[in-house]
Amino acid sequence: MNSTPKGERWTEKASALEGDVDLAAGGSDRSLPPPAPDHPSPSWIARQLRTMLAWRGSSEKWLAETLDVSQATVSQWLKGESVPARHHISHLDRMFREALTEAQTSRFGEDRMQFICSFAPAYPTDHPAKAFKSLHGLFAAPDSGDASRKIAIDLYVRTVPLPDGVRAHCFCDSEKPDTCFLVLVNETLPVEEQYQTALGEVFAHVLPRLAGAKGRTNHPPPVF
Amino acid sequence: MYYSWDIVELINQGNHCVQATLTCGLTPRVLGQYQSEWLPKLRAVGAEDAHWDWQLYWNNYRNDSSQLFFALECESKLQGMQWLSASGYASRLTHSPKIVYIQRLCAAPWNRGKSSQRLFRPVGMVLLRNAVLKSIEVGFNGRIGLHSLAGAAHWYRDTLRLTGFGPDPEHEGLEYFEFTEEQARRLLRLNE
Repeated sequence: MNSTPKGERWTEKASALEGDVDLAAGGSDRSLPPPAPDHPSPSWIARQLRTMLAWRGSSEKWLAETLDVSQATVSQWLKGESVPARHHISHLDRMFREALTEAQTSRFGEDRMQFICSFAPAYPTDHPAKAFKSLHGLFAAPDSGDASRKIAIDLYVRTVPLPDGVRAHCFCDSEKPDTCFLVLVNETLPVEEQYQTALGEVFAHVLPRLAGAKGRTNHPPPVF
Repeated sequence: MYYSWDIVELINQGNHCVQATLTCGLTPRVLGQYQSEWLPKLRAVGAEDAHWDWQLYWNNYRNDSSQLFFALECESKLQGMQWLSASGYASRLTHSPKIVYIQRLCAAPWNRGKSSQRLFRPVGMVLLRNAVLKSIEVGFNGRIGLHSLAGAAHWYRDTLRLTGFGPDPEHEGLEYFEFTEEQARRLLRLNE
């Protein structure tokens, strides 16, 4: 939460602006887009591909090289004249999700980041400036694609009634490596223990990946 | 299925700011709440959106990555829902730019009517801002389009001063509006 004076927060101004109006919006059911079919048609796949390329800012040539097919083949896919093979669709599906995630996380631009704190033995006066320098280096450097340097997970935590003695149940998606975690935490735990338990559960699963990464063999578990 | 979420802020009846989660993707729990807690109330008052079938929308479009569904939850209850289309729609204002189109946007029955009686507010504005942010994220610079239900058309036109295109015969005469980039920026910067 920020420290904006009362009455000056976006939510408060928006609430005043909205007033008593019910802001419902929505067109006719008869004009909905065509639903995603169980067996995608060439035109549906073409639309998806065009969207993905637009979001990534990538070219047909890039897609052809990535999938190791000719540019003419990609061109046919984009026109809806043919469909990719099953193994290509699987690859494309993953790329599409990555492109969407990339688009959705682009809000983490450097200029939108606020310095919160550091784990460090001392805090000289230029500490925040040095922190921003490190951040700038990250954004300025081209993506190395080195997966061992990234830990990107979705963590979904819910408190629920669980049997006595059970602190939490942890679930993950079927992707390898798993990136999406759902942790059901016993609602009887104090709030701070709920967070600690959830993060601890996930870290226990992510730790082996970190341990296997170059230069991180002795990475200690976090202290919450 | 992938779900991602953001933390947003709402105001409760005690005029305190509280945290809410805006989840991308409709979970079975959310759809269950819609069915059991929203629908009976919406039908009882003959709400304009009582015929919307969120389960059907979700079933039909959940596999289409350009269709984004959002559930706004606070205190474990569904407070608002939104469906955005991030491809396939172009601006009527200018000749090329694409827009994010708001297919559906609505607040829970207990967040409608007089603002002083709403459990949480401003659900509509938070969802509108979400649409603008998604438009920015996918590269459309905040441009969004929507068909307003009859009760809100005057507000979009007079209060938010959106660009209106009048009744749209292809959408049962509902009025169509668009946020320009400038109007989107204004919405994000209400507190500046």
